[in-house]
Amino acid sequence: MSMLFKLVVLNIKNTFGLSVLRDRIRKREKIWQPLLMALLLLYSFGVLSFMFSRLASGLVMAGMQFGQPEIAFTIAIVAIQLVVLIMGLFLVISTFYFSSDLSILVPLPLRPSYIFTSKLATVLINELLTAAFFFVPTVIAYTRFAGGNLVYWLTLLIVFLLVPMLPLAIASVLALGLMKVINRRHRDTLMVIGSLIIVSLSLGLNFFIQASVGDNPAALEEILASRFGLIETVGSRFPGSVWATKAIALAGTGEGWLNLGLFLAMTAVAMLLLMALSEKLFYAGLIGGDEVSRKSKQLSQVQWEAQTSPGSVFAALFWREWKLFIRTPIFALNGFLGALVMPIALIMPFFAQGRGGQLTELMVLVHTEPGSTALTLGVAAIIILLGAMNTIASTSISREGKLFYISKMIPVPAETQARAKLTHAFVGTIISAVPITAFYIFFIKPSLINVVAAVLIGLSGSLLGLAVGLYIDMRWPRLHWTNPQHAVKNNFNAVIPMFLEMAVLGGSAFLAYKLIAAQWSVYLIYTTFLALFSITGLIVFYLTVAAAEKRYHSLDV
Amino acid sequence: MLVFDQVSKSYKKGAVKAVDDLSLEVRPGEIFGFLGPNGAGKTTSIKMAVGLLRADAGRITISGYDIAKEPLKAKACLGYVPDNPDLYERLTGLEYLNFIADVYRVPADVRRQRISRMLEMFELTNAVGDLIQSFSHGMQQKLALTGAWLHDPDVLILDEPMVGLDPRSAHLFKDLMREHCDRGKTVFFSTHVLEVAEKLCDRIGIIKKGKLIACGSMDELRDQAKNQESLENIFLELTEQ
Ligand SMILES: Nc1ncnc2c1ncn2[C@@H]1O[C@H](COP(=O)(O)OP(=O)(O)OP(=O)(O)O)[C@@H](O)[C@H]1O
Ligand SMILES: [Mg+2]
Repeated sequence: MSMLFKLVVLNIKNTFGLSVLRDRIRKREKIWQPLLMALLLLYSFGVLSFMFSRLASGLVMAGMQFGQPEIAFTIAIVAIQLVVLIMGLFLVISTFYFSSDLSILVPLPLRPSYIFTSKLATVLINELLTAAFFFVPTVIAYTRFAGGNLVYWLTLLIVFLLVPMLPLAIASVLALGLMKVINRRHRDTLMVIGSLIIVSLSLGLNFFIQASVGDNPAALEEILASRFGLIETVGSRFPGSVWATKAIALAGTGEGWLNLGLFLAMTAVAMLLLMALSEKLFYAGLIGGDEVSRKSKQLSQVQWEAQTSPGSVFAALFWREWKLFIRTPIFALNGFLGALVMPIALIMPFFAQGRGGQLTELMVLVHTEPGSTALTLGVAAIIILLGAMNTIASTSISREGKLFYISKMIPVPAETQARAKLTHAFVGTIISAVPITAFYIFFIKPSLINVVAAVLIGLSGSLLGLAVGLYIDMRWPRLHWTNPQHAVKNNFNAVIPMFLEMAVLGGSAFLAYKLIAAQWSVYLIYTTFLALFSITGLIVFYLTVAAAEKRYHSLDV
Repeated sequence: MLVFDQVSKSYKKGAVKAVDDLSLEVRPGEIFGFLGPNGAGKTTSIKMAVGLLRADAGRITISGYDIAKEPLKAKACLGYVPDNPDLYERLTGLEYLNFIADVYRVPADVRRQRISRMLEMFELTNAVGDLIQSFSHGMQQKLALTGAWLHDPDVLILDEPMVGLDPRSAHLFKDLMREHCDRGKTVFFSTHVLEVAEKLCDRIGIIKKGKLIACGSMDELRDQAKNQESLENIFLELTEQ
């Protein structure tokens, strides 16, 4: 067991760069960097927590009307479980199967389940951070209303630590199974497809739950009348969330302890099962997992000529970015999954709830002024956010990792390389905009001018986030990673442009509100935003490109 | 061709002096071997010469271009293979080579001719259409060497190029270096294989703790370390304390 513990500590240190940090603190070297990061992290955590706390307060208030304020916990826990299940799947696959330090760990005389568990621990810590976003605001909102004693807080702590474990265990089992069965040679492709299917299934499940609660007024009344009725309905398809809620709500009573015990027991059983399963399945999917298909055939004359035909320097750089991004499943998924899921997530509530009058009402609203203008700008805002979320620009130096030496070795100005990277990011943003635009066109059927405006404003607005993202990544790239996931997910650079764009969009929304209230013509409003975004975007774009030489020069590899 | 002029570099804010006042000139037509114990500063010197690291002091010029002041011109005259030839795993061998040819602006017919010659020599012709991920260590090394050769650079800088090459490939590769230098170009490489250095190099430099402690042809080195015949003995004597 102590071996397992050591392994866990080692992996945590390695994943989160703790040794590097301690080294720096001891030498008083560049501490301000992690400090700044921590501050920014705290700030962004604060902002998000604030948003969630408003939501949580609302939920507590709403729940109180039916005498079930604990519904806030149920919903938070269900949300955590869903997020952990979906996001956890990718994190789990990349951590278990794509970390390069595995080739060091596997030959060591250690049980597979130990290595597996130590890796799982790092994922768990990540997921606890995510969980805190949902959990902490709920605790604040609920405690303000209900107060709490020591047992309550203890229960909260235990529940918080346990909540991500169950979905993580499910995600891990899915990952173990997926990697065991899929053919090694097409692993990259199959991994993407398999993950997409699982994500769609989870979303479908969510839809199913919403639909089952949505429509039936009689059932609804009954649900609302009983003490934990609503909670049991919402939580019915998420094992544990009801127990956890009851444990918190009834903390200190016998029933509270019983529910906590049940929750704990279920989690423990899941984890033990997972460990046992990993002993059998982990190496089966892992070993030989880096085998890739080889044709080993001589190229035909035509292929040879085509593949050695010259192109411009810029084109060569662009295609390098493109191929490396799209062919690394973790990068591609991280880049485009959000763009795919977002429209689905937007459609579902409509199907789930407003099949009748609400929907037609809404349709009327978005087809009359100012609704249609507001919606157009809203779609533009989503395109902008998706642009920042695909993280193509904000991780583009980090993604090169130890291969950054090639970029420094070639006789190509850093400006050209930065331009190629930004072009790649912009093309990626156009692609991320496709699903949401298609959703907008087919579902809302807006006028052509609105579609064009949404796309143009959205794309021009994304320039700022892309350019700033690249600048930040040139400034603080994360080049020393062992797992591609570190370059894109555990990379704080990727988050900053999102917050920046959110701030910009906040201001823009206010401006839009004012302009619409002042009865500006639609065309004028669109032109204003387009001009504003294009000009600031292009200026920052060129500033970033101009700064590239200095940044590249100062990056030692 | 390749000149180090009083170059120094330390890591960790001066705590580790990796290269200490290194001055050295490699002339056209010369193969220069760079020897030294582990951690002597070979890789550090090489990284500075190719522009991956900034020197703290001193100047490095490639074909007359200062790598710090005119990096693009200097880099265009330079071919480099690092000690660990990591390449883009998700490109095919040929995609990598064509990328390199594009960024060094090698004309179509020249690149085709060079690529096919090198690939045939290294017996990579069949593998080159596959992802680099599927290459063995030696195959990656060969691909990296091919890439460095594509634009026929004035100066080739190689960090332990023999590691991972099988005997036949190593032999062919030595011929290739010789031929390159016979056309008036320069090869600068670090190695731990003393027989190769002894047989192949026109001049040899030995570095220890960042300082150049010996430099010259085999004869000159023999004079320096009196009564030692083989390079191995010279190396052992000179690097002892
Ligand atoms: N990134 C780094 N940070 C701190 N110190 C370093 C770094 N890289 C190298 N050093 C130190 O610089 C010195 C020279 O290292 P270098 O890699 O140049 O040696 P080398 O001659 O190439 O050795 P080898 O024969 O083992 O390849 C060593 O003391 C090493 O510890
Ligand atoms: Mg070295």
